[in-house]
Amino acid sequence: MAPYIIAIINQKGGAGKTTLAMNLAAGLTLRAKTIVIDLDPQGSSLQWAAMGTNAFSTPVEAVSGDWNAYGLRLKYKIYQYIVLDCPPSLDSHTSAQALLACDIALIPVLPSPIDLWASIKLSQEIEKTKKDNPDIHSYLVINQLEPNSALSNAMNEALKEFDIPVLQAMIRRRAAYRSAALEGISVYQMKGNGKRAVEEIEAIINEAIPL
Amino acid sequence: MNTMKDKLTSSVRKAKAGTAPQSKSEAVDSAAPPAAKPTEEKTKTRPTAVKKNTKQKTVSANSVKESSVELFPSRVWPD
Ligand SMILES: Nc1ncnc2c1ncn2[C@@H]1O[C@H](COP(=O)(O)OP(=O)(O)OP(=O)(O)O)[C@@H](O)[C@H]1O
Ligand SMILES: [Mg+2]
Repeated sequence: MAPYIIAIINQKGGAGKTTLAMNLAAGLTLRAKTIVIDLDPQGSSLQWAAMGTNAFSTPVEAVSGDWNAYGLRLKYKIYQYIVLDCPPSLDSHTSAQALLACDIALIPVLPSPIDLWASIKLSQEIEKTKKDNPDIHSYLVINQLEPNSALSNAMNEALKEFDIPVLQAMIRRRAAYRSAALEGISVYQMKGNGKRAVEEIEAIINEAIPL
Repeated sequence: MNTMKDKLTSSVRKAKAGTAPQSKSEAVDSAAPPAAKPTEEKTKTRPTAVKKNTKQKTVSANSVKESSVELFPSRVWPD
């Protein structure tokens, strides 16, 4: 079966792409053979996987040069899921290719005005991509939610402007996500401390990813 | 009561229309420039150059924003 490609994308820096990519991949690894491709020159996913003493649950590799969807699927055909950790820029070969290659684009957004303003152009890019990748699915994933903040509560109305559906499953701001990166593990490997975070990632997988 | 919701929604609408929210003092002449378009390179290029790389890569100064300076959340939700 051809790999199912999941692009974690948002041109806004710090939206949670790497955090979502690494933990989502860890959750998918429990189900099927999965790899993370670090498309970001910052190399955060690679660095995350290299932290700590235990191996990360999922292989993480980088691609470079003039890659495309065909080459990616061919090279990684033994994997069922390929998770693309995209750079914080739409203005690159990489991001354009990621949108063309993917079956689904997950777009983490923070409940903050500046993040919403910076992210809105992405919904227009995804519309354009549909010419060449008509089957692409896309969802916004609210990250670093603070359920009691007025701004978080005001988000839902504003997100309707994106023309992209919002996943019901959301990610709260939790220390576990940061500790996991520091230890070079996913929240799945954190035992008790990662329990709620695992539930969030599982909810995203169950809602958005075909198994 | 709905002020924040309305403000936020209208600010996103403005951003969508390509007009970043402006400060009151510079409202006259500073419409935001439209965001850069992605290069529309097509998939016809060679399916090559997928290479393994386990070393940390360098930062490209032009395109990449540092999340460390973008975001310093002051509070973290406890688990
Ligand atoms: N749900 C969360 N709870 C707590 N901290 C979080 C959460 N999501 C992300 N963070 C933290 O926010 C920062 C930015 O996250 P991350 O690096 O995943 O974003 P990014 O979109 O990949 O950034 P960049 O655009 O620089 O690649 C990191 O310090 C990360 O640990
Ligand atoms: Mg990142």
